[in-house]
Amino acid sequence: MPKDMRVFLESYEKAHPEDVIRIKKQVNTAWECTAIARHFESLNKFPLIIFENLITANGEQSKFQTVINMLGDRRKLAYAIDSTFEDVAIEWRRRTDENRIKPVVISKKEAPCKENVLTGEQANLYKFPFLRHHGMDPGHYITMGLFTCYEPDSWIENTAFHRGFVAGPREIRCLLTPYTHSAYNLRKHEERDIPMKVAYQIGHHPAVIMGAETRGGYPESHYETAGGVAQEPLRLVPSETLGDDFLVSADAEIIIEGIMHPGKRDLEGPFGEYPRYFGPQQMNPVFEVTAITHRNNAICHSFMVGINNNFGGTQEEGTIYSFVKRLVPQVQRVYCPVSGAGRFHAYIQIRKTLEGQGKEAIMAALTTSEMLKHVIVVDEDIDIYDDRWVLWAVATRSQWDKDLVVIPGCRGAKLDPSVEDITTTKGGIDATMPAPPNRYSKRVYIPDDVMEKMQLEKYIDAEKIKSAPTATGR
Amino acid sequence: MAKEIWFKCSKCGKESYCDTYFDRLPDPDVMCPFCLNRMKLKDARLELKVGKN
Repeated sequence: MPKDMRVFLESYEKAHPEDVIRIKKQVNTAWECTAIARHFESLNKFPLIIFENLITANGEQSKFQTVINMLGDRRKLAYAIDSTFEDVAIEWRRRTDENRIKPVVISKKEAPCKENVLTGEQANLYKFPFLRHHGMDPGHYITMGLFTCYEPDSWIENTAFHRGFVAGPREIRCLLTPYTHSAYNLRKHEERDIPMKVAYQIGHHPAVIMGAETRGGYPESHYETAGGVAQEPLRLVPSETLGDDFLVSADAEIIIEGIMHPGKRDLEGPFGEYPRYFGPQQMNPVFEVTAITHRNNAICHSFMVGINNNFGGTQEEGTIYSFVKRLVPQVQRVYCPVSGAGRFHAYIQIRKTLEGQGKEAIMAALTTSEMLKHVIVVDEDIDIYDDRWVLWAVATRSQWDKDLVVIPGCRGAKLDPSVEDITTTKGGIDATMPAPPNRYSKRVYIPDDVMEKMQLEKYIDAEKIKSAPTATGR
Repeated sequence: MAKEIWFKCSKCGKESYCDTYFDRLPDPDVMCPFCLNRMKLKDARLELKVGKN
């Protein structure tokens, strides 16, 4: 059976029933789903939630379900590609770079996404349970759709997440940030004054999504990277209204097909974005819907933008790791914590052998993306997945007159509200100990054999351990 | 450099903002995200100090 969203949901729910929540009570797609996600986030929990009883944007009972947090934390990402909490970012990047698999094309009769084909007035976006996320968003948004278009000369497809404001029953206004490959493709079409054929593909196996939403060269096939990360060829099928050479994923839950006419723009946003601020209203390209196809009992998928940045952060880690590895092979792990919205901070763990490697790692990392602003480099004994220990290393292993790097005037992230114009100041802290043979003060420790012997469960009731409040818990 | 241009809806009175490049567009419209009212930016614009500097 090919990897699709249903295969993942069934498998994950069986393996981790404690992390899957089905909500059967009626919930409105306007803000109520995100409110539930926000409450869970305040508990530092990101369970996969399936909303089974939803009211859509036009006030009707939805025929479909919506899933959130399917990519909500690195444990689920690791599960999706059969990796581990620590290795998932590196393995994701490795498969993207080294393991590309060509897709296969199947007939429309075989394709689950063609079980229902809606054209003309039957194609109505308001029938689907897309979510209205935050208070100042102008309406419901597609946040977990793979926006698909083709480079017009090579006819190589590009798939990427681009938010889409559902502005009418057959109109979506899409943010195609200028330096993205989707925007490059649109520019090429507009230079030739021809419409761009586009699609949103919604609901797939997380491994397929991870591979399709990859950052590669331009143009490079995202269907091949999707197959690479999923470790099987992606099944494709011709579109309904965009021609037989416009291929979409046969196993997606929902496909929205359409056209972007050259030069056509309309108002979109503000929208609550990944840095946890509303990005400003813009004039953005208009996606005119020509068809919607979907599986029977389609499952919609939404991303908790501005609540949960674990997907983007984990993706960045793989890229940073591969950049740093070229210059500092001693790099062990990279982590982009939620405190940096998954993009602005990176913690890098190295096995330091020579002086200078900490600063080399900082400089290499800062070139990976305009979004990464702050890098902290630590030694191998620091748990980079826990801010407390990274900041402890900063406190006890850095002197900022020697260990701080500050680089003003770099290109910055547009959605970072502290960025003035388009430039930002990047920097890093080398919080590593001196390289051998130099010695450094010894961390406090208790003999290993005693730690092993004194397991809490041997001395204290398990429930008592669980119920004892944490220092930061409220 | 301002990060955004703030405006107040002429219909519902709520405040929101658009990108600074709207200043380079000829007489642009803006849309209130709360009530979807469209209006001219020049009629709705709020003159505020915006950004860190």
